[in-house]
Amino acid sequence: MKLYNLVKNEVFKMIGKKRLYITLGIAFVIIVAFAYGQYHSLDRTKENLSKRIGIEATSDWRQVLQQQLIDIKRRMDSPYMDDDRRANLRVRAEQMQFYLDEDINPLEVSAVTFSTKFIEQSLLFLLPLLMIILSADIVSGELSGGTIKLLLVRGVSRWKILLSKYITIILLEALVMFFVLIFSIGVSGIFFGYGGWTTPVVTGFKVVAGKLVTSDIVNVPGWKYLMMTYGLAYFVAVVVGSVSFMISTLVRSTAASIGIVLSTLIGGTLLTNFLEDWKLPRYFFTANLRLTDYISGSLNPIEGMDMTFSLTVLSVWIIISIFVSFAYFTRRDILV
Amino acid sequence: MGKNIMWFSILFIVLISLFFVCAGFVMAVNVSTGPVSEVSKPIVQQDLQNSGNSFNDPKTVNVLILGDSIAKGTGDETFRGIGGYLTDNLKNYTAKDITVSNLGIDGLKSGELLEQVKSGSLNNEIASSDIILISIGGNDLLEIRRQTGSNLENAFKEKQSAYIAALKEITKKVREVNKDAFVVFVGLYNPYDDQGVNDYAQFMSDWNHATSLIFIDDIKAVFVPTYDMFKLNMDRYIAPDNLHPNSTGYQMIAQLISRSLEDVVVNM
Repeated sequence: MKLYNLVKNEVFKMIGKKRLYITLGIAFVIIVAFAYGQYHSLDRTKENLSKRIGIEATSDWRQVLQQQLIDIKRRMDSPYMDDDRRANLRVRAEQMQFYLDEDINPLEVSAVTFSTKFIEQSLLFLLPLLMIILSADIVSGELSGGTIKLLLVRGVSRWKILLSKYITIILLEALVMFFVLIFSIGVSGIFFGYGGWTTPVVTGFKVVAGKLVTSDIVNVPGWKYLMMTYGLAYFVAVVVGSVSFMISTLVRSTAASIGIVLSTLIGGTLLTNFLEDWKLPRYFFTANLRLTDYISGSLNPIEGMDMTFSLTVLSVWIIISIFVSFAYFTRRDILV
Repeated sequence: MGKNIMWFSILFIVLISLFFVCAGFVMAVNVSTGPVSEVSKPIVQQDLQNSGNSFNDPKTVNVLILGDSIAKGTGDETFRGIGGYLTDNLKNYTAKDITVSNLGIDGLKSGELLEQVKSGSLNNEIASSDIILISIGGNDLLEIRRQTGSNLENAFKEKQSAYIAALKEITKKVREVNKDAFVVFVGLYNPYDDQGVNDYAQFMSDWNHATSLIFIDDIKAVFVPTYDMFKLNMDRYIAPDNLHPNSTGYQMIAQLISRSLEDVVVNM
């Protein structure tokens, strides 16, 4: 049997099992709740933002912005400015210019900023959880249900069966990401309007020797930033999917499989508290899940940990998971 | 048949999604890895040596303005700031030329000004000045306002003692370099007076008092209070950002300063 047909078969099995709908349903409900909550705390969000940007929510933002823009331009000419701060100023000036040109109040929330924030927030728990629900029983379910025999007796090699299951996970994760994006744009747009696609977002932070370096920062349009966030989120999804796939192969019962991955996730997250002093936890996958912090610059840099490091660690976890799954599955005894 | 349509639509969505996330992933990795292109350089001092040549020139009065955004003139819609108006006012008292070098930086705190002064990079400027105007501390105090919590009192005391220590050090350094210049310190006003945040008003009053004590023993220094002038004139003197003075506000501050310096400048 060709791999293509096996994958197709697996995908339809997943759809039949309603597990996919549960995943999507949970995502949808949480997005609605999150957007509604965000909408209710909009005033407070604006207040926080105004403190940060220096605009009083009540005052005429155009005038203030214009004033700040001129100030920034003058400051950039000052000889007492180092490159790091100058880059900061340049980026801020670009943003302000955009807000003024497009007549966008910088305090407003849009569907795009909401969707970006949502996925950033859910990177550590919600997204992994969804992926665990999706993938934790793909092998163990067949084992505990005994249906694995039906697959094996068809004369297809074991590695092909396992590979088709793995590919199915990867594909369905992409499907879930797609719907999460559609849901969060669709729902938050009702509350905040469907704008923000071209609003500049600062990115390009780098960590050098444990310090956040801002001399390379640039503004990218909101849609591009959204893409970056989802790209990283998908990578996280693949990592968590691979790990739970491995556990699912090793364990017979679905409940045990979900339990193990969940406790690994939560326990591992707790371990990240010691990251600064204790080097070992940083090689654990949970310590590296917050990839978007590297592009948003909202991190507390830790010596030796940067985007390259985290991606390497996570990739190693994917490879190990796949290797262990295949090594174990092709050798284990299954009574036919 | 229906099964096939479903399969292909799923496949289609998945492929779009995969393309989307892969492109995003590549962009994200590109933007946040790789070597840093510009190595951040330490602050460069440019040609400050040249600007010191008017020292000892009996024909000019050199004014140096140090400190934060108030020193710089942020909020003034005509971009003249204290320095600009001060020049206008002082011209009435003397026939000499008046030069102003404004080294104010937005957001500067007392610790940062101390670093600047300590580093010696301003020595030429300080040495060649007849009048040194300092405005600092507003940003130190603003940090307290942005803080929330019950321990505001302690936080304030801590901030204040750090600030006073820094300011003492600053004035000491300035005096080491130039013991003849007249030092003018611009006191803080409370931009939030009309909002009835009483703690803050109390803090500011303490703060101003403690600051003024530093200049008491120096016969060539003066602390110019601005608090009383702003309190009831908020709408007239404060810029739309509700924090900095507007052009009228700066004119008034400059007027206060020039009045304090009237006799000094006449005799220069």
